[in-house]
Amino acid sequence: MSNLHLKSKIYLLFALCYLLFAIPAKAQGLSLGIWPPLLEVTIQPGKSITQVYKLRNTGETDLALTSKIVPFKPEGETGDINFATPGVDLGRHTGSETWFSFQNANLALGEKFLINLSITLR
Amino acid sequence: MKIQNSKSKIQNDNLKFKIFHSEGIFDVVKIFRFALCIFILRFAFCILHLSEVSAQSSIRSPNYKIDWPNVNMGAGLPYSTNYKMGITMGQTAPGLYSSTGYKIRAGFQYIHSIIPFSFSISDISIDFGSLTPGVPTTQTNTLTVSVGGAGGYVVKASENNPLKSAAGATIPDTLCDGGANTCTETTAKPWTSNSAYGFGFNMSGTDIPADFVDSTYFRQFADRSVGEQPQTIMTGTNVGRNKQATVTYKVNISSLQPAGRYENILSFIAIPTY
Repeated sequence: MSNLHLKSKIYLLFALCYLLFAIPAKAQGLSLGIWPPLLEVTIQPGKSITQVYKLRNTGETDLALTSKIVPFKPEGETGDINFATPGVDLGRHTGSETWFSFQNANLALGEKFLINLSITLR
Repeated sequence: MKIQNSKSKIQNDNLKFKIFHSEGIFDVVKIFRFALCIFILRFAFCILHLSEVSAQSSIRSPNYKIDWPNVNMGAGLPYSTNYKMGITMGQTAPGLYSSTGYKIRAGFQYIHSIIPFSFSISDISIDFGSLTPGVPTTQTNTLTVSVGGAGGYVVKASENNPLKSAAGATIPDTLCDGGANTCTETTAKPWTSNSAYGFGFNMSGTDIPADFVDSTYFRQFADRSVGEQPQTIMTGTNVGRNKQATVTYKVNISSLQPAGRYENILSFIAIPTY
């Protein structure tokens, strides 16, 4: 009988500890910044340019990102866009996503990469 | 030597500039000296109080930093057979060129914003828990946009498909209350009836579409699986920090809804504009 009483006390103690020290669940968010946000280039075939983009993880956790070139069509006159349907909207520019590549030696388009918290990737 | 000469000239001119006035003799040289003293004092004041003025290398505001500000003498879109570029002429640093292409950082086009373009989602996993038929359940998260540059922004939303279970059953996108109050992915309508089933969302906060009149107005997400384009849920034309809007997700199921774990993927895309 006393053993049962002791067990009850231990269970009660554990339950109390659980209530007191339980870590509250925290929603996981993300926050990502990019610069420059806009780049407009008109260029002769055969020429190339290099543009440095800076990504900044301003969230609370590390971010795993995957890069992707997404073709789009302009909508309106203020920079809004609609995503282009491959094989339908791009016409002679079909396949233009292959014009772009990363100069980073350890990174290719479409590969997943990690941005640690508050680290700027160049 | 020049000063002495000037002084002697002024002294000589004293005689010449003495004129007669109706109220007496009026000494023009004294007036000139008085004006000169005022001018010297004012000049000294300017030197003392404006000593920090120097060549202006940048212009700042809470929103912008413009490097190499200048008074421009022309602008436009010059082009040749090789390239076309936007340019603002008359500045100190016209740009950077290389043998393999062009990197043009010139004029108005190169406003260096103090505010980076950033986008935040407060919670990337929305869990409704166990649903009860006829009892709507809601969850929220917050979208935050900070936008610099020379323009505004747009946030678009879409879903990969309606909420779907592993067995293939779906919770359809809401039609809101139906009839005259049938909502779509582009138009919000009231969704207050507990016998109207589906999945949709409401927006509140900054820069949201006008059709979200109040918290009872809902839309369905644009469904990319049937070719619908992502729809604008936030849009702003001015720069600013921490523009926030709250998304309220709502789901309501009928008693005929098969049991299961339903999921879909929502996509939010923040786009800088000009």
